[in-house]
Amino acid sequence: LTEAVLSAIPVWRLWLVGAATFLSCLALPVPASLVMLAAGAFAAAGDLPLPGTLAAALAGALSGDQAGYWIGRRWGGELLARVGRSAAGGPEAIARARQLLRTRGGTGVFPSRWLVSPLGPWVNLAAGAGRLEWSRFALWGAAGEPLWVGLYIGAGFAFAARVGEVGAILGNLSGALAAAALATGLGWMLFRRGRPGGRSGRGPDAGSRPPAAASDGWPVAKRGSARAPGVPGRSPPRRRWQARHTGPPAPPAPRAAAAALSGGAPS
Amino acid sequence: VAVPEPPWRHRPLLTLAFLAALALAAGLGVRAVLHLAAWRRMPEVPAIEGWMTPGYVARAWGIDRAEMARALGVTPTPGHPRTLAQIAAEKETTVEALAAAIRALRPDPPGAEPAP
Repeated sequence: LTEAVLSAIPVWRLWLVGAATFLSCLALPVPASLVMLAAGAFAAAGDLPLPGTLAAALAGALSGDQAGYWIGRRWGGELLARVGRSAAGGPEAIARARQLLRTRGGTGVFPSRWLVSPLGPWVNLAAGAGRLEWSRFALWGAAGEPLWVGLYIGAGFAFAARVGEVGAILGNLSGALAAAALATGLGWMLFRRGRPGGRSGRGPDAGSRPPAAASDGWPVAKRGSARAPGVPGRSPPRRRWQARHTGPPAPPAPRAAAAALSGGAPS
Repeated sequence: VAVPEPPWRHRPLLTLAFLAALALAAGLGVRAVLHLAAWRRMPEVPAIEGWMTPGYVARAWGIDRAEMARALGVTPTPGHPRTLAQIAAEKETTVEALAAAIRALRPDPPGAEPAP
């Protein structure tokens, strides 16, 4: 495959460079890094114009980002809603993720363009699905893509004779950084959400446990938090206690939570 | 007093994904370092392959482009580069024959890979 891609560059020239960066921004398995490195090397050899190569790659990347964003915006929202109904934390978790994306998502777009570029296409789709403000997405993307394009084409230009080795180093390095970023995110979810008092999501008794927010300001919260998480089921004394406390005056808890706690509709 | 259970008890899939990402990061990081360490051991000029253009080989091997074109028997076509594989097909010869002609221009390139 590598040789076929490399052989195609002198034939399709700037079209191939632009198409490669465009398609790679849509999460398609296109070796855009290799194409840019090799295009940089061909530019050094005088076979491709350097400014044109940079412009083609940048145009492909920027338009690919936009396409990914709008695909995510058009179809990602429905997918998110569907996932939200079954995922841990449910629609609440999706809403929190959206909120996080809206408040801090813009700055996340920037490193995903060049430093952890394997995550880039997924960030495009997620940004669209999560309705990150378009202007911020476009701005951070436009700031980051020249770095990505410049880094790879520049490396190919500077180390023209060693395109393969440079590609191996950069490919492994960016993959390692992307995996490390992913691990950081997953670790944050794991340890933050697993914390007592944090959002524990889908534990063994998550289905029977009342939502943490529903018990705010209600005596049950104290009783509930005194139990070690993970104790399965609910003890009969607690149920009796709840039955006594779910009568009028009504506690300031949502009706659904009250019904769940009392094990049925309050009489 | 409630003793918090470790999060991996409750979230085995998330834990697995976290560990897999960590392992991937470590593995790729090690590979990057190994490739970087191998840099010095690489030959100074790459082996000649079919995807390369005469201009690319001229640059990598430090040979004059006009001299390269003469050796290959081609006229330089600026803006329309051809690969050695294409040139070999046109001339009904092999890439290896072209590579031999190129090597003859610079019989002793520094640290060159031995011809296959």
